[in-house]
Amino acid sequence: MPWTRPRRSLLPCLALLACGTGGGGDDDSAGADMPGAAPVVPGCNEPVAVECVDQMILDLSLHDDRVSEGAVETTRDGDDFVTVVDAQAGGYNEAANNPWVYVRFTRDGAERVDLDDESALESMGWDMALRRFIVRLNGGSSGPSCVGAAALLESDYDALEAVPDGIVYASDAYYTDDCTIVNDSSGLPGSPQVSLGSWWEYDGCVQTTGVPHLIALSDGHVIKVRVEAYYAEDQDGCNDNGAPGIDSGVFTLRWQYLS
Amino acid sequence: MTGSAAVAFLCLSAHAGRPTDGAGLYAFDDADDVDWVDGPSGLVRVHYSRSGPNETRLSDDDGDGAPDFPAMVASTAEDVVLFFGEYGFRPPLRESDLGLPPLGGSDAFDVYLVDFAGGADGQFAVDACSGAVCSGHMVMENDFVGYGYPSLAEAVDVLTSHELFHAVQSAYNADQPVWMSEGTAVWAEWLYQPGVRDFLYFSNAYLEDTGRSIDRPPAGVATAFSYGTALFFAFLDEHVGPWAAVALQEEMDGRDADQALEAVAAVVEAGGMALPDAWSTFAEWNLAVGARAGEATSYSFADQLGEPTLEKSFEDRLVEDDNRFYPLAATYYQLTHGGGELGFATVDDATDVRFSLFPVRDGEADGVVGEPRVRWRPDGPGRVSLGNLPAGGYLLVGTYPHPASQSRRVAFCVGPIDALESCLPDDQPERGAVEGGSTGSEDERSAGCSTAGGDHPAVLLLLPGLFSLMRRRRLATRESLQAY
Repeated sequence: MPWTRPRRSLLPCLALLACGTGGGGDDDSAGADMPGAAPVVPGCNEPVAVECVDQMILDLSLHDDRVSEGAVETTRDGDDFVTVVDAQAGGYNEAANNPWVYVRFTRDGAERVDLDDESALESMGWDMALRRFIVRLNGGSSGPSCVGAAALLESDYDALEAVPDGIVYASDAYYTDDCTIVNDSSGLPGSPQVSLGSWWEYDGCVQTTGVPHLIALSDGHVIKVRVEAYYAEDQDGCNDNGAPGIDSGVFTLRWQYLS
Repeated sequence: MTGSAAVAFLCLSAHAGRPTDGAGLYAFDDADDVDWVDGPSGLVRVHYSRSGPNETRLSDDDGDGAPDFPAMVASTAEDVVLFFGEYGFRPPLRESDLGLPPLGGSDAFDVYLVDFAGGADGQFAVDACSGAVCSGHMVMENDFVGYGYPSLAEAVDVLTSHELFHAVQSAYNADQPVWMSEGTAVWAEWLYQPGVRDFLYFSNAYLEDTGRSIDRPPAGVATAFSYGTALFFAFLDEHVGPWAAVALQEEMDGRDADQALEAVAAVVEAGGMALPDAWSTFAEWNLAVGARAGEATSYSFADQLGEPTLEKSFEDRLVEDDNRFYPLAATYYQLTHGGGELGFATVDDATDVRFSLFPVRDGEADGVVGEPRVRWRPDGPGRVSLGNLPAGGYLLVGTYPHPASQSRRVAFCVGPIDALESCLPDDQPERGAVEGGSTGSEDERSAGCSTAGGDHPAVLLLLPGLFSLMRRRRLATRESLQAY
């Protein structure tokens, strides 16, 4: 192994050199086939205690004393909502020192939920947590609720008008029984195999795949979601040429209720 | 491929390519005109490009025919190799030690000056291994144009000492966990060139996240925390002894990466200490740094460091927290005391968690801290008197100084002895017997509270057998999950 000494100000560049695809599999409904993924029955009222909290606090650098101030702004675009989430967390070098952004999807749009990370492990009040390129859902390893996802690798977001038959939703399941973290296929240590991992791949920068996901919320309703951008500007340049865009960690999510 | 996997699969019959082969992430281009210069003793050969994409600095002010910059790199690298040798470390393995041909044209250690394009600035790469003992070569930024080092000389000092220390490590065991391999390499920068800013920068990154176990760096290939563990190795050097760094490498010889903490413990024990005691001291040294340095025992360079991040700062004279004390980590608090009897209370089993309380000089809220007034180790729920203490600012250190797989979660209060109700059960029991404590060696397991240089004898008020009566008042919301 080469010991590469990173330039201090450019740790993020090196950290992503080894990246491949962000996660997911080759099948259309990736969530159903992800190793270790637990199927989700949409709808739940009671929280379930999260396992491996002690490990997760260190593995995911969770905080109990700060709440993210990352902006979450939603606008309407026809039948879709478009939500921009500032999950920069101070940039790559500082991300471990900053909290995750928690988001709840509602009929009026998505909104930020102001929780510290450890409180979020006991709260059903959020659906999605974001920090840098990792997106967790409130269920399984990530939270006490039952939010799960299915990646429709061969589908087009715009063509999805209803929930297809036979969809199986997967909750985040990135800990083994002995609380060893299960990483995704990106090669990044500590990049957990989340159920919503098929939105990105890496080739010099974080490229969006355009893969639509269905997310089953805790109230049983289902939304379709597509990550349109990870950079505040010039995602296309990243997708087309491998050149990083401007302001990484600023997500643009397009989503719509399907049920 | 991970480091351990790479080491496991390399063998003597095959070796990784060199930058002159166009191999690796950082390599010469076909268009480069590559030349080399040897160091004065012939221990190091530096390969550089006279023209092409990786062209180095070519000025030759001394007119010896070799560009000054690669010659300086060769000279400095040789000085580093000799310095580490004089310190007691094994020299980097040569190709011939592992039966390889002279991959760089000689048996000298090879350094390649290649353009890193700003993404990094140095690398040690393994050529071949016998078990976990490996030889390799070093790749370094070709000109440092656009890098932020204060001087070219400092850049070369940092890079050569850091990467060559990886070569030294590889003479013992190339399969060391990142927090140890990078931490000791950054410490080696400081050893070679005391005052180097790189060490201070990374040490401060550690001090920003002391609540994290030293052997559990954050996610990411290259995190500042992993490099910042250098501070711990500087502590071993100054507190345990200058021999400790060499002894640690010797201890790692033949060990697996997941036995690194055992190696650390063995070194500390060889110095006549137990790891928990040494770690507790490390946690205390890390308080008395930066603006708090100058009076309490700490590093020789304590005033050059930044202060550790405080978990919380309390101005209402009562520290109240529910904290996970991770193994081999430390948490810091600030409080203002109005004067009088100060106490500690918890409803939890805080066995093996240690606390110490430092006064701020001259009664200020924060600033230079004196030696700790009291140290204590609660071994169960209850309340402890910390003695009658004068008014002023205090800094509290809490640490769980044992290797372990789980944290100790402790809800506790520190404040006026009669203001600790939130950390006591509803049915507050009678105070138990008063015991004098003595400070802590590893063998003294009983709950204790000791004075530590102060003139206020501390006493321990035990509340035995109350665990079943305790109510985790403040944790109620954690135990009954919230539903929205």
